[in-house]
Amino acid sequence: MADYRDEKKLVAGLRAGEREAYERLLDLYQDKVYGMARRMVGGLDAEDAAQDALVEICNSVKGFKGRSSLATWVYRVAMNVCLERRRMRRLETVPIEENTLDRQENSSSEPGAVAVRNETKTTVNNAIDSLPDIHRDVVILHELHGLTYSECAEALSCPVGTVKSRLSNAFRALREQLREYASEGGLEL
Amino acid sequence: MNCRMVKSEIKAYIDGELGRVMRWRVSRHLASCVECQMEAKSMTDLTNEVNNISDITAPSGLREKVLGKLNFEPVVRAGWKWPYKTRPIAVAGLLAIAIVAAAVVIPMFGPAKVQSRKIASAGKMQAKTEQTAATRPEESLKFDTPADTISAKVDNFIYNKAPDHAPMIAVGKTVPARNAAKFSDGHINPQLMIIKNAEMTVLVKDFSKANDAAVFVAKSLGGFVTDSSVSSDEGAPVSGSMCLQVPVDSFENAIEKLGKLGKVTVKNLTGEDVTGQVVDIDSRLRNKRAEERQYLEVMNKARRIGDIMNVSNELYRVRGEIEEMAGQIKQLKSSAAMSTINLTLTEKPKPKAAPMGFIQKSFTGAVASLVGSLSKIAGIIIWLVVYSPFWGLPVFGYLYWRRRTPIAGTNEA
Repeated sequence: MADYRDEKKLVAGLRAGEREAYERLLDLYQDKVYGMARRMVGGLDAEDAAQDALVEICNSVKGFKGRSSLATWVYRVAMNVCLERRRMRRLETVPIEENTLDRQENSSSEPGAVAVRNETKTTVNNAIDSLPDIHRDVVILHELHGLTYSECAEALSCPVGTVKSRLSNAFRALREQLREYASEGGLEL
Repeated sequence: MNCRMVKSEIKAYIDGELGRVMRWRVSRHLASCVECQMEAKSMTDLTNEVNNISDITAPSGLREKVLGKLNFEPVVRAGWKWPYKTRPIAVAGLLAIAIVAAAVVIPMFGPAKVQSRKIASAGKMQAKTEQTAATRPEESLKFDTPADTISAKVDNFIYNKAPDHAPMIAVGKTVPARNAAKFSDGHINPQLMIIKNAEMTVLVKDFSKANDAAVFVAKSLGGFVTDSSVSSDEGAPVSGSMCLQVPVDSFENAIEKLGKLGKVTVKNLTGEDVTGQVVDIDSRLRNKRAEERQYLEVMNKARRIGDIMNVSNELYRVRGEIEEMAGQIKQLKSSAAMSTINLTLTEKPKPKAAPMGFIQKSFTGAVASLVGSLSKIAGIIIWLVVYSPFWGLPVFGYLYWRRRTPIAGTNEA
């Protein structure tokens, strides 16, 4: 079995149609694509959107020409699928359910700390979900998926300056929304 | 830089997405502005909070569902095949025709005729090649052996004026290969880390020609031009300045070549040894990286929000310092790899025309006066034509009335 930890070998395996390469691709990106779909499309439709996006990624990966990193390309395809679905369904995104966060915090040994942390995360999540689409998309890509400004610009098909201003405006809006929560002691802003 | 501008850039500053100059400007402002410091702190805290949101895990079974929808067909690389469907009889017929045609044609010309035709066509090709070379003189500037030929070509360019749009790209590609072994890995021997700078002012006969030649010198030595400005006020000689970056090995060579552009009026050469500085920053960088690793270990063990936040802040600070030091080393290395030459070219003032004699002055004045008078008359005529509806109608009406009205006394006659 080939070692697909190297991106070039992975892309070569994908182009050759090898099943192990596709499995590796899905292992790498299924959580990220699902997370993006969850935030952009909404909880009920997220799994379908993620499935469509992953199938689209797998089917069109042979056309990946290596002009950008594989991650950027994957995010761009997933973003397009999610945007299309959002446009078609006219759905507003819904906040992330509490159980998602609860499941991830079970390892902590202090129930009080877990509760505080969960509350903070839920509040921040809700604030992100309430942002306008153009601001939320750039926050998702940059802050939650770690893309650089130029990668975000490529994924969103807009100039880097636009990404910068959208992110700046998004954070100002977030700060305004979280100011009340912060004043109650939940955050230090 | 005012607070409004800084606030618009502060998020990118925190994310490390600003260019070096803008980053420096923002940090300089932040050092002196408490309000913007508060803004930066607030944005940093919020960024940390947003980054702390956990990733979402995909539901189980998604991977299998996607794999189930894919059709895995291994790519089969087929061997080479004749792309056309041909029938053996048709192929055999074509081969037979070709053989017969060859048997008929070859005896008609004979070996001697074929040979003479070959010679004639070779002569035509040679003539064509020579013509092509003559119509493309710039090809003569391509370098075969950089060390010796460059010097000759640069001299040729400076003194004989190469054709416009000389092949700078071809030159730039050929020459740097000489230095590629030293700089391809970006590492320079610390023993030789000296930043060389020069400032030159050269008085030249023809600014445009000298400007082109200076650019050519930089490119031919594997360098480039970063800034360039030209000042051409009316009545004043043309002057311009440019900043040339040349590989440090070619520094002296470049100074010598640029000195040949004209009369050197100012020439300041400076050198700064930054070896110790680089070694010092490098050792501090290693310490900071070790510190970062320790914080990461602490971060993995931390469970309380307060601890995580504190370690996160410390990590952010350490990474900022690491980035800054790495940037300083990179800057020093690039400065040491390329020398900077600030070149100012000033055109020699052209001699003023000899003062005119009395007759010549009178003649010139009379001609100018005549031209002025004629132009004024032409202007008046144009005005009259344009305003003709106002004065033409009454005048022609009056003339018509005079013609139709009998002159007093005519009837009695």
